[in-house]
Amino acid sequence: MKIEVRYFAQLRETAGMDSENIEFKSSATVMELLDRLKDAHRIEIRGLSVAVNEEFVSQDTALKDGDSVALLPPVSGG
Amino acid sequence: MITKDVIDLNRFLNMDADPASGASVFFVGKVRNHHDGKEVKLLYYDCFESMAIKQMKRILDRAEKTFPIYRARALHRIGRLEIGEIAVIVEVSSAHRAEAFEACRAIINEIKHEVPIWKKEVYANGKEEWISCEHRP
Repeated sequence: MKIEVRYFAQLRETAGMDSENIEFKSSATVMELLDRLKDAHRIEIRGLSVAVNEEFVSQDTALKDGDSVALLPPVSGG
Repeated sequence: MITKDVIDLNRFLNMDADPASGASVFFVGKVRNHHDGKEVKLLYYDCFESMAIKQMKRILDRAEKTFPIYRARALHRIGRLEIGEIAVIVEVSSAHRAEAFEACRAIINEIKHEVPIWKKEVYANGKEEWISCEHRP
């Protein structure tokens, strides 16, 4: 299955990109995706929130083909 | 709810004004020139725009259900902002001021915690830093 990953704020700068597509041969959870990205981009995943298709989810959420996953650092609007 | 343009307070006030409302409470967040003892030169706000709009709408809807108010509105600017410019406006209109003040405080607190917007400060010494949520009331 193919997952779109979107990066924001400091993660966009660390990863050096706005988004990328990640392929999984079998099923995967958000946590498994984060593990892979952590190694690929040396990003700090502690303290991150994750949104799938624009909704906050927990890290044990199972991903589906075509999901858009956003990695969200602690927010600081206002 | 999200804009890249300069926020004009008067324009926001008169836009879509509710003639039934007798009182409005505003929160206006501006860019300040200092943070943790450092001199701030300017700010950048990054945003996950489609999700931010959804989250802000949710926060405003929740306030309208929770508090006895007529209406709640909010506008957050993103992109590059200079010192003194308006970053965010919240307006709550209601019949009585106590509920309006309370709802306005709840909304700006929730915007700071639940909306995917990120602030980067650029300092006078040329360094820059992404800011984590400050959790200050």
